[in-house]
Amino acid sequence: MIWIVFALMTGAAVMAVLAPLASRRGTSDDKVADIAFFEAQIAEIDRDRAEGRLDASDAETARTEAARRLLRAGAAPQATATLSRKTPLIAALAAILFIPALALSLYFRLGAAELPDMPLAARLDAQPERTDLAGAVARIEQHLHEHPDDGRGWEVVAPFFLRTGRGEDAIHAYAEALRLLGATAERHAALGEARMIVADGKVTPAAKQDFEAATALDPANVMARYYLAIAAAQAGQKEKAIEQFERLAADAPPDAAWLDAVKAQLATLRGEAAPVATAPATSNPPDSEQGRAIAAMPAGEQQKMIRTMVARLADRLAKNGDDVEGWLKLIRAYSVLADTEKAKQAVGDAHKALATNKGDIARIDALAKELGVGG
Amino acid sequence: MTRKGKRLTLIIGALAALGLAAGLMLFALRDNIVFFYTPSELTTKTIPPGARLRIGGLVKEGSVVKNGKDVAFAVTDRTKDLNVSYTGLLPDLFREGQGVVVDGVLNPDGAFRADSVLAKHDERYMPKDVADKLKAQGVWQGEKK
Amino acid sequence: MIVETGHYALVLALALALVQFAIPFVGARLNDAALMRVARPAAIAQFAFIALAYGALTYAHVVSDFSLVNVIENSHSLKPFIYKISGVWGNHEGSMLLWVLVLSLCGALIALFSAAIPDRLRADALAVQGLIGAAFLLFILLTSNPFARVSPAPWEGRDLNPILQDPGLAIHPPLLYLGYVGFSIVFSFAAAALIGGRIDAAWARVVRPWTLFAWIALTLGIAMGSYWAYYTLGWGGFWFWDPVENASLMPWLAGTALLHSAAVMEKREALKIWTIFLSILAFSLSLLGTFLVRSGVLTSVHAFASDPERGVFILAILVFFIGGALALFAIRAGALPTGGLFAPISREGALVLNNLLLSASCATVVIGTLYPLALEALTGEKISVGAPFFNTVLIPIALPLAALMPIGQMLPWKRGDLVAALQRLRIAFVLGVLAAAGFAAAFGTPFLSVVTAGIAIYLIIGGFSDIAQRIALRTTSLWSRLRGVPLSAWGTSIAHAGMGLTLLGLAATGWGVETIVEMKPQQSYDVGPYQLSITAITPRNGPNYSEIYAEMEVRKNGVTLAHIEPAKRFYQARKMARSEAGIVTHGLGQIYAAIGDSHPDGAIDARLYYKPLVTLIWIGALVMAFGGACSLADRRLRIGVARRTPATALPEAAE
Repeated sequence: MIWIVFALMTGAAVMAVLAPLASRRGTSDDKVADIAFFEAQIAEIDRDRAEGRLDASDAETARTEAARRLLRAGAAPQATATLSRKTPLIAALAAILFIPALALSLYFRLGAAELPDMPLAARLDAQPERTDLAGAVARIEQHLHEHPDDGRGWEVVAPFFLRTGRGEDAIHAYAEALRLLGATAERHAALGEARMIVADGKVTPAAKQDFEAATALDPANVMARYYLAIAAAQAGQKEKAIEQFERLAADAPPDAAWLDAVKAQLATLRGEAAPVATAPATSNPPDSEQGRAIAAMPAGEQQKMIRTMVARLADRLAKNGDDVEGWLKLIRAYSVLADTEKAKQAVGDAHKALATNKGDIARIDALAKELGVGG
Repeated sequence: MTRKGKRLTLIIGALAALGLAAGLMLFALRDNIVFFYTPSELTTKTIPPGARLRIGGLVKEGSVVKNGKDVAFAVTDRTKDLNVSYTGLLPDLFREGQGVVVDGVLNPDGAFRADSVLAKHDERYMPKDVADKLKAQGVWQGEKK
Repeated sequence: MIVETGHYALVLALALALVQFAIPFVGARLNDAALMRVARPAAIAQFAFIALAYGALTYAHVVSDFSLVNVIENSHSLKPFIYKISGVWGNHEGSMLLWVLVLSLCGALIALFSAAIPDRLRADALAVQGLIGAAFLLFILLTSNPFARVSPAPWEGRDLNPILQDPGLAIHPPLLYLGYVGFSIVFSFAAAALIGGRIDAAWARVVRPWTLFAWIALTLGIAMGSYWAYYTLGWGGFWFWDPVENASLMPWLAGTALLHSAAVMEKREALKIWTIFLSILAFSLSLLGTFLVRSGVLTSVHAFASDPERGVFILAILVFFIGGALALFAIRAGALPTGGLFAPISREGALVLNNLLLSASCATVVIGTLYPLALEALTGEKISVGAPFFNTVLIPIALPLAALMPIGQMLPWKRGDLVAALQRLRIAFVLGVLAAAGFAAAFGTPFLSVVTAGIAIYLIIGGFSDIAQRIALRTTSLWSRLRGVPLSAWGTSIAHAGMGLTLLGLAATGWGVETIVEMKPQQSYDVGPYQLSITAITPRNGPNYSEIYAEMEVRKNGVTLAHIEPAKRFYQARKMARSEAGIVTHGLGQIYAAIGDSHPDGAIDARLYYKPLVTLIWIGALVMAFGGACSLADRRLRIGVARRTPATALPEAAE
């Protein structure tokens, strides 16, 4: 179908050139055009004179000058353009060959005729199984744009935002969820954590307020208590931080996975290990009892799991590199993990592995360019 | 006047006008250009007193002191620092650790008196080499690639 | 399919542009009518295909087709519709496509409205136009392809720079490009004249409407860009001598000179070689501007592209066309027949002086813009050339130029009487002096502002003195006397008066008041004759930003004039802050407020300006463009009419 359109367009372009070449219409020559110009000029002066736009002496001077130029033009040697039979034929042949040859060869290098249009609305309406997680998020976003009052939607989408580095969007989503679904300790804590992650791990005053709101609603909320202790540590209130961590540890069930994180913080604060003051976003956050809260934690387990999967994929591709989808997935994954070096390396490896396939290389390059990890 | 004479008058007139313009331009170029330095470059140059300068670098962390409309801060290129004082509103994007360009005069005591402060991404332009330097140091994310 | 159709159309346009160059050019050399005729349909078809490509790209932006890299990088599915359209040219690739679209439009316009022109001249002009088009199409396809695709497509784009999400930007670049690229027509005709060796009054007659057309668009484009900078940048400045702004001023100055020298050439067949040179210069400076903006040699708010590969490509195009045209000029100009002579005191003489002063201004801007780049490239020394340089050089050139404008209008062609001309201007002169005295009494210093304002008033009145005296002298009815004044004479007077208005607005900047205060709510602050007070400071959320805005009340003599809401915005997606100024227009002046940081005690830093007569700067530009439009509408210059009735040159008209 698209090739029919291209053929029609090429035909139209060629015809635009052929039509004047085929016509045997006569031609004007320079001398005739000049004489016409000056004759018209004189006629105009006369008309202006008649309509009173020019006074007599002005008109006379102008007329004399134009007449002088007219005479000079009339005296010029004749230079009529010729109408040859042969040259138009050569030109026509050249055009017929040249236009399609150039257009098609260039288009084959640059174009992607096989790619259909992808209007966002149509993609969102497409069958879900053909889309990925990002597509699902996009669909929810679209839905939320139309129904901004859907608090559940905001709550579902927020962790995904956080995980894909869209921190500000995550804060907005958590805040909307909080506003629409009502305040709970978990929602406050999640919002505070998002703010904190956006601030590179610093417990900002806004985040602190959220955590305080969470503990006000549920004094036992582990995540909020943990981060409030961190906040105290960041503010230099060492004693207070130690005391809060100690109480947290005392309240913990013995098998709680987050206990280690608390103990590590305590050790740091007491100066037992190298004093790493603030790295909550990268150290293991506490594993609170609420499943939803865990899902909202981007830092620890999930990163780890993703990294394992990515490592597995990288191994597989290192053994068998003939898998363009795999490479695309790997580059994208490194980029999501903000590991630009590895992403660049993967682009390079993919180039080597797929060297024989130009189309695949182009896709790799396009992705690399899009993600800004091009070599 | 003869044809030649008229033409000569024209040419002389033209040359006089062009000469005047060129003279003006040279005069203006001598007095009105502003040299652009980083704090470390500044230490290697001898600056005539009262010369207008433009200094680019980063706002040193923890150096900003505000007192009403008077602001003092240090511009650093991570090698040398330069103390700057300024009176007025700071631009929207002025922040510690971010790129900044200041215009002004060097005081005899070695401090810099700025009469204009432009911040990174500021609406007015940021000289390319500051941007390059900031990019090299990974501070500048860039508006677009 | 629409997207790829657009892509293919762009490639086809390149093929057609090359055909449009080669066949008519060969035809003109062989003097073959059929070959020369190819130029017109080829130019029109080239335009049609580029328009198709442009339409396809716009479609992709509108439907958020994120399989295009260009759409990903510059759009967002939730961006308002108007910015989806303007976003097409709000980025490097799209703006280059708009550039060639306008270029091919110019080619199509030549093809459609040039029946009165000799075949050979038209064929050569369209051939040159085709060659320029081919060079830029190749540039787009090889280095800045807006149709580059990505698969799999992401689900969201990265949005447009918030500073560019503004109605001012929606119209500013297309107008500017129409002006920039409009000069390509004049360039092509100049090159064609040099190739064909025929330069006469008829040529100037053909070129003048195109010059006017480009000049009007450029005037409007510059004015709009300046106003946009004024109200979005929050500094109250309207011109920063930023290289990107200079890039548009250079062709404007050259174009203004060209407009005047072409008048001499059309009327008197004099200044031919100079006119040809200016024709080449105007477009060369447009190309230089494109190079400066698009190559990334400068980093400024407008330079949204930086890529050395592109820079070198544009530099090559620049060198080829400017170098080629100047070489052609050097070879052929000597062989051209010289034109008529005239006395130094005459309309021609005045226009020569005008050209000299305008060229000197243009050279100043070029040097001020390029000198820092050259110095840095040669010595590594970095300097900035700013307002002080341009003011020092341009004010002594511009003021005499303004003073001479009405005198030039009063002088007749060929031979004039200076004393008589000055006598006819005595009313304007006296009023100018009185106005200066009045301004001095009202505002006092600075001296420069008073002098400039006086000259501006004299210029406005002097511009119309010629027409007024013509009407007063005649004995017929007022209506027929008014009818007797050609439209182009009105155009001259109006455009000159517009210049006067702009000058007055510029002079008044010296009387402005600027204060930086820490504003406390409910407390009144004086700004010139006005009082400003904040009634409330409130945060607010916009669609893609959050802001803090101050509700301010503007009063004069106890009467509340207006409420403004200057704000400080923060755009989350790009983490950018931006000031939103609060502006009130009162009379011809404006009160302008921008806010800064807020203090814990509830006060807020604010920049307050009173700018008397500031709107005249832009009103003047609109008036200038209107004057240009009057001239363009004159029967003798009308582009479209020329096809049916080849028009004539009127001796008396005062351009």
